[in-house]
Formats: sequence, structure tokens, C-alpha cells
Amino acid sequence: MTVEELVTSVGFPSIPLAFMVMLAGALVIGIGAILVWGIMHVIDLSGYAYIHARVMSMESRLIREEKLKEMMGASTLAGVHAALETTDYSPYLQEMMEARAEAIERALNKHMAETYHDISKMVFNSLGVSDLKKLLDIILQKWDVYNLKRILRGIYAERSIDEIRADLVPVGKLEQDRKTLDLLVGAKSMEEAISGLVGTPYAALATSLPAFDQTKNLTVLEAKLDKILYENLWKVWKEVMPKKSGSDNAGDMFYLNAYLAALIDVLNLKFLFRGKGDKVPSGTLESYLVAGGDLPASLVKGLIEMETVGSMVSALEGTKYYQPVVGAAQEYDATGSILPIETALDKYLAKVTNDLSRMKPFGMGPVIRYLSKKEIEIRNIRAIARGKEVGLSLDDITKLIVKVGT
Amino acid sequence: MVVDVSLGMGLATIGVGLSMGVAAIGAGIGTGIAGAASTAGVAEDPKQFGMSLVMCAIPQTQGVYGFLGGMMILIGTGILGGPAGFAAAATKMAPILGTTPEQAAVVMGLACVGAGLGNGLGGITAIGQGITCAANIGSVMKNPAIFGKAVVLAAMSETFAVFSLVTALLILIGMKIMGG
Repeated sequence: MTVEELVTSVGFPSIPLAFMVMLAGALVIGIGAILVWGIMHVIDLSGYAYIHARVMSMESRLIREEKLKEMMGASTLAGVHAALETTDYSPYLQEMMEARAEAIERALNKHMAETYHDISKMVFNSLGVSDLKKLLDIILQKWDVYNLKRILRGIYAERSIDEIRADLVPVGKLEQDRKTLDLLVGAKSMEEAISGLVGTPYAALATSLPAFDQTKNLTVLEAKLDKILYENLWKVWKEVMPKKSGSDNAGDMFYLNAYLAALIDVLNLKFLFRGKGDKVPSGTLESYLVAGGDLPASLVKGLIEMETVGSMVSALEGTKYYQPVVGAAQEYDATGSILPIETALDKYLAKVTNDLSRMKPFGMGPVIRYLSKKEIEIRNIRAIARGKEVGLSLDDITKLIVKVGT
Repeated sequence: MVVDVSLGMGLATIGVGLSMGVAAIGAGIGTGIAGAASTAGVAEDPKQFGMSLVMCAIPQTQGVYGFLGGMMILIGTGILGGPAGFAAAATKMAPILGTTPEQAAVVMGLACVGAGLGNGLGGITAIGQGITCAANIGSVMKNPAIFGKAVVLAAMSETFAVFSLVTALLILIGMKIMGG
């Protein structure tokens, strides 16, 4: 039997047509395989699309500049309270029915906690237990550190248990561990509180106790807490990143890495500037710096040894932190206050989070940007409320405000 | 004379299926991604239902193009009239191609696979469009003033789906399957 006879026997009119039909079949199967592969990679986007839309909507409700100006221009704290009535904070304020800075602060804390709960639940429901979720868990732990600082400050100032409790933001792992939290809040001394941290990631705080006993300076303990938190964050990140850098999330990883590195650099720089301003000895400064970030170790070592804030600013030339800091340094020269430099660094970090969200909208960027903006918003309202209560001028309050650009 | 057009007719129906099926995959996934964002948008602000609905509807158009492509093949080849209808179309085409009706039927079938596959793949653009629409939902919720611009940006992906449909139509016209 010839090939032609074989081809015609199976129903093909000619060899070329049989060849074309087989080619068409192969093409359809090949394209089908590529499509399935492509679709498998694209389908995960729906989780991020959900998160993106919700977070953007939440961002649209952040307090705008005009509202902040209205609050800053209020003649009394009651005016600030009234301005907040039309915002997301309204339900918490109504609950309290009092125009005191403390009440406003408690409302802010409650709102912050619920925001974090909502975001955490949303990320978990949309993405499941992913490596990025692990990262968010670590980011959430900063509220443990915040609460621990509040507890330590409360014990230091000999405040009552109820007063300390009122200051806490109900977010983070510690909040879920009521037994440890009760032990900490009820502690009569720093030693007792710190010994209550055994078994938690903050047990290493005990190593800073002798330094605190010597200086009676709370910054020693607070800086150690930051060091524990951010070094843990950086460690988890370095475990997650190599797994993800070759994946579909590679772009997300790149920008997340830039954000986390900037977060640690800014923290270290703020600590160094503040330390130099307060004439803290170099050896003490070095022991509290967070390992990690993008700044070269040699540069950080150089900064520690420098005598003046001006020389530190000059040493940063060539890094991405020079431009943000150099303008604020002039203000430092005029006023002697480190605050403008710290605010400039915070603004730079806010810009990095903006970039993170803009360059990779379907990733963790929008979530981090929103949380960052929310924290800045709360800090701004707190500054205005406290400022109004102690009678700060409009100019002084304005200097404390960080614009988030909503 | 009885003309065996089973192979050609089978190929043409594969073309119809590819046109609609592949486009439906694209439109379905695109709409699904935009839909996920819409649910989020409506959960945050129920007043945004209208805007979300528009954004969900945009990636659906590729499904309509797939359906149109399929219909053009069904009508042009006479499949709707059964094997006799397809055989009549093949017999009419045979002198144009200079082949037997059986061979013309296979060529017609292959042309339909090409047109259907091209048109169906054009529907995959709906996935990209769905991603744009999902991002648009978030952006419009943040700044409602950009709604018009957001729709224009989402329509960019549509261009290629339209090109695919037009190409499919030109294949069918060029092969004298339609308008011959």
C-alpha cells in the first residue's frame, strides 16, 4: 500500500491536505498548552486585584490636607474633635464623648487596631498562608513593640494598670497572649516586666537591663526592642526573598526589598542623628543599630564615629538619603532640633512606599503603603490633638505634620 | 453526486469551537479578575456598583467577538444547513480553487480553523483588560474624576481583539467562505 493510498483510506483527499490538517492539530494543541501554562500564572492575580481595590478605597477615605488644615486651624481641642466627626474615626469618638487629647488618642488606637485586623484578615482570605503573609505577620509585630514600649513607659512613670491598658493598641501577637500581657501590665518594676518576656521573641531585652539600671534612660530599652523587631523582620525577609525572586512575584520582591531596606536604614539614621544630637557615646550607639538595610557597614561605622550632625549629613552624600536630609539639616542648624531631619527621613520612607505601590499595584505594595499612610495620619492627628492641648502655635504644629499626599 | 465533506466540516466546526471557546476563556478570566476587584469595591462602598459593573463588562466584549467569529463561520460555510449545506458551499468553491469538492471542503475547514483560532486567541486580550479594569476599580474609587480616562485605558487592549475579529473576517471573505 502506498502512502497516498494509506492517506486516502483514512479519509484525507491528498497528502498535502493531510499534512496541513496534522499541522493545524499540532498548532491547536501547542497553543492550548501555552494557554494553560499562562492561565495558571495569571489566575492568582484575582486575590491581589481584590486587595488592591479594597485598599485603594480605604485610602480614598484617609484624611485629606484640607481637613488637616481645618483641624490645625481649630482654636480648641473641641474643634479638632468636631472635625473628626465626619471621618472614619467618628464611631470611636462618639463612644467616648469627650474632647480630650487622651480620648482622641484612644480612638486613634482603636481605629488603628481594627484597620490592622481588617487588612490582616483580607490578606489571609485572599492570598492564603503565603510567604508574603508571613512578612505581614512580622510587620504586625511592630504593634507588640509599640505596646511593650507603652508598658515600659507606664511602669517608668508609675502609672496605674488602667492607665497603661488604655494606652495600648489592641493589635499584634502579644495582645492575643492575655496571660503575658496581664503579667507585663501588672509588673511593679522594669525587672519584673522584662522577666515576663521570657518565652517571647523579646526575651533578649534582658541584656539591656544593666544599661538601663545605669542610665535610667528608657531609650536604651526602646532601641533594643526596635533592634529585636527589625532584625527579625530582615531575617525572615532574607529567607523569603530567594524563594520568590525567581517567581512571578520577582518584581514585587524587588520593590519590597527596597522598602524594607529603606525602613531599616531610616530607623538607623534617625537613631544615629538623635543619638548624636543627645551626645550619646559611640559605643552605645553601635550596640543598638539594626543589622541589615542598604547602607554599607563602613559608612554606618563612619557615621557612628562622627562628632557633629553636619558631618554626618555630608557623609551621606552619594546615598539616596542625602537629598532628603540636606534640606532639613539647614533647619537643624537654625533651630538645633533633630525633628526636621527625622521628619525628612519619614517623608522619604513614605515616598519609597508610594513607589512600591505604584510600580507593582498587584502585590503587597498597596497594603504597605496604606498602612504606612494610616500610621502617618494617626501620628498627625495625635500631634495636632496634643499640640492643641498644650497650646502649641500653628507654626509649631505644622512642623510636626507629615503630608501623605492623598 | 454525493460529496464526502465530513473531514472539512469537522475542521470548520473545530474553528467555530476555538473562536468561541478560547475567547470565552479569556473573557471569563478577565471578567473574573475585574469581578474580584468589583466585589472589594462594592464591599467598601456600595455606591460604586455602577462603576464596577462597567469595569466588569469591558472584558466581556471579547466573548462577544468570539461568538461573532463563530457565527460568521457557521453561516459562511453553510453548516447551519447541515452536511448538505456545507457540501453545497464546498461544491461552489471547488472551481474557484481548481480542486475537487472534497479537497475544497478540507481547505475551507482549514481556513475556518485559522480564522477561529486567530479570533479566539484575540479573546485572550480580555485577561490583560481584566487586570487593567481591576486596577481601574481601585483607582476610580480613590479618585472618581478619572473614570473616563480609566475606561479609555482599559479599551487599549480591546484594539487587538478587534484586529483579530477583522482578520478572521478577512480570511473568510478572502477564501470566499463569506460574501463569495
